[in-house]
Amino acid sequence: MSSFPPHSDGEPFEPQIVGLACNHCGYASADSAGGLRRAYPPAISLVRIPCTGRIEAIHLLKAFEAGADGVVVVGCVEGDCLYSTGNLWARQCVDHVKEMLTETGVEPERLEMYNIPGPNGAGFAATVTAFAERIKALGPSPAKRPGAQPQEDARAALGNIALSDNDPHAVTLEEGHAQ
Amino acid sequence: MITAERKPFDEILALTAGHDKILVAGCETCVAVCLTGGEKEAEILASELRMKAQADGRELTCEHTAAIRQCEWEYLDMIADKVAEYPVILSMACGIGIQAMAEKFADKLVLPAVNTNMLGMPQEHAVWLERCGACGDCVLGVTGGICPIVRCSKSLLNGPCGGSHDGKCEVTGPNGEEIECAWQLIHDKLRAQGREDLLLAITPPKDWSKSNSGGPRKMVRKEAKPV
Amino acid sequence: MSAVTWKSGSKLEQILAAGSFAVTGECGPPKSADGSVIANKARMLAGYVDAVNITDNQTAVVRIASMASAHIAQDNGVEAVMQVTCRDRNRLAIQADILGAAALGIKNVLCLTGDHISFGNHPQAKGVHDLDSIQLIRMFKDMRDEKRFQCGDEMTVEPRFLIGCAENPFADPFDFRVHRLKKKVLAGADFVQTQCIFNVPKFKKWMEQVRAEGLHQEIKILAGITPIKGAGMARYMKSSVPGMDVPQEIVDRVAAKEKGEPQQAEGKKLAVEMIKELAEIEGVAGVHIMAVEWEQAVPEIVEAAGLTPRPSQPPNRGARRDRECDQQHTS
Repeated sequence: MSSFPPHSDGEPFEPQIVGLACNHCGYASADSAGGLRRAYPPAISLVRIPCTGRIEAIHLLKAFEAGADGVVVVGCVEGDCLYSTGNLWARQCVDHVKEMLTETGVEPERLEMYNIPGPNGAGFAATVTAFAERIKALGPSPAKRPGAQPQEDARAALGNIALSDNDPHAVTLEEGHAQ
Repeated sequence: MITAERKPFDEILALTAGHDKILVAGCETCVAVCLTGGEKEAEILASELRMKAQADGRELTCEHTAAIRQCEWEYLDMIADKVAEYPVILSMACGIGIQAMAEKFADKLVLPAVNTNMLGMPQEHAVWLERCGACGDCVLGVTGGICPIVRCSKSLLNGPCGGSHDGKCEVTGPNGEEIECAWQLIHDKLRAQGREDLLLAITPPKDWSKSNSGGPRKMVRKEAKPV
Repeated sequence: MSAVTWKSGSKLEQILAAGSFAVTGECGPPKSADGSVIANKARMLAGYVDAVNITDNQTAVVRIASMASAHIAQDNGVEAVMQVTCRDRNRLAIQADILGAAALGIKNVLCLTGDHISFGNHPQAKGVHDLDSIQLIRMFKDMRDEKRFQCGDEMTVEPRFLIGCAENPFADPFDFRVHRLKKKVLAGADFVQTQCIFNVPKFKKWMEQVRAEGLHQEIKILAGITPIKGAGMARYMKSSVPGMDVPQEIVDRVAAKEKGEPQQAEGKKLAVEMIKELAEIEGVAGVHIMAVEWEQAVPEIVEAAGLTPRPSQPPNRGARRDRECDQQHTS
């Protein structure tokens, strides 16, 4: 069951956004935002992944196919990736998928990657809020099918790389960011 | 896949004349699949060369090896130790592998033991037919899946020519074997698909600059380049 | 009376436009630098044909280039149809040749794919085939009517040619041959010469389909004839030449005569009969006599077929004629 009402005529459009956040800075910065009581739109559903470098083009495309109006990738600041170049590969992958989105008629601005330090909860909240505003202005994704349930379907598509909160590798805020 | 045929033995002898320590290097990908230059065939060629040397009363040290794929640097690393022992490498790979060997082992004399001939497929076991011309601008979508560039002897785009007879090309193979008229095949296929309109449309001149005619080509997958 | 705008102003064009039954011949240049061979053949044919085709490295055997030969023919009293194949030249060379031909006063061209390189005496050569015959027709049409090179560049003075093509009513796929002719019409061909006909009933069937498409009104069709020189030739053409349909009764008829002169005479007689029969077919605008290496038979055949005298029209020499003033018609 979708957490959000599907967009229909007359009702204001609420974008459904899927976020992929790395297990270190990415998810930590989201956690920090929560800890700091910095609000960010509930329409963003975060999926925790081990490292943004684990993302392949198909994951991002499947998120859009699942009905996401926007997809955001949040990783460590460049140079601070725990796996050294994971976030650099992710940047290259995101750039490539943006080209593919353009080919399919989906605005490339619906996909974005941000590099945010773990403790920067304020930065996380501000960034994703601005991203949600961008998506709201763009309207529903052209690739979205009626009745889409992006959070569930995207998570299913990301199944083999998503980490649950119970995963022994999932880090909390204190452990998150490498010093 | 890429197909190749072993050069005539006399030609190989002429190429290797004067050398008494030779490593025959096979490749376990395309040329192995077309039964020309895999490890098995490399072993056979080495054996033949040794026997010929013996019959001629010549000294010859000749062994064989094979790379998983002779056109990849990492796979050549795996045979580098063996290659190091020989001044002359007789490669049974396709032209790509031979050149990779020549580049990687720059101090060696790398010689071709095969003639790379086509991009073909096994129509039936042990019979390969040319299928693709690597023209860089594929038209298979409008020709019913039949390539007019290499399956038509004249590379017509608005075929057939006046020489098509009984579904056969006016040209015969080197041993007089019949060649199917590609445009008869295209015509029949498009008819069967209900796409005759494609037969009536005039196809404009081909952009050969996308083929090898435009110069040696290069391809880059920028999304996969190391960051 | 307003000036007629001719596509080329050639004698052949004018004769065809007037609805007169046209007669064209064919001449194979020599495998040597001896231009007098063509000059002699041209003089022999002059007055018996309206234009003579000059072949282009026919059967992939090197001969004097068709442009040079066409020029020699025109200097010796007969208008030329310059044949151009796609086998030996790319689009640059072909366009350059057509400009050169126009500058020399040649006004008819025939667009062909060309026999495969493996047929000839240089089988190791690289067959070019940058274009095919249909693209060639369209290219010439655009040069003439749009004043554009194949790349799209404009030209100030365009080559004006009557554009011909060939068609083989007997080749496969048989049901596609009329569509292939239609493609050539769409590409811009003005006239077509068919492969030589021996099976007249089959040709009539093809003409039925041609007329059903209305093609005979869009393109001038010249029926091809090759006089048989002997039974050996007939048998060879029947069995060894792709796309040739020679009924057994024709072979038998010639073979029934004695070898040499009697068989030749029968061959010529047969040719005359066929010309007369073909002339009766609706949509046939003329005949194309391919008596290669037997050009001397042509005057006799044309005369016996009742096609002489040919309309007298001096062929073009040298510079292009001014199209605006070109109003001469056949008598």
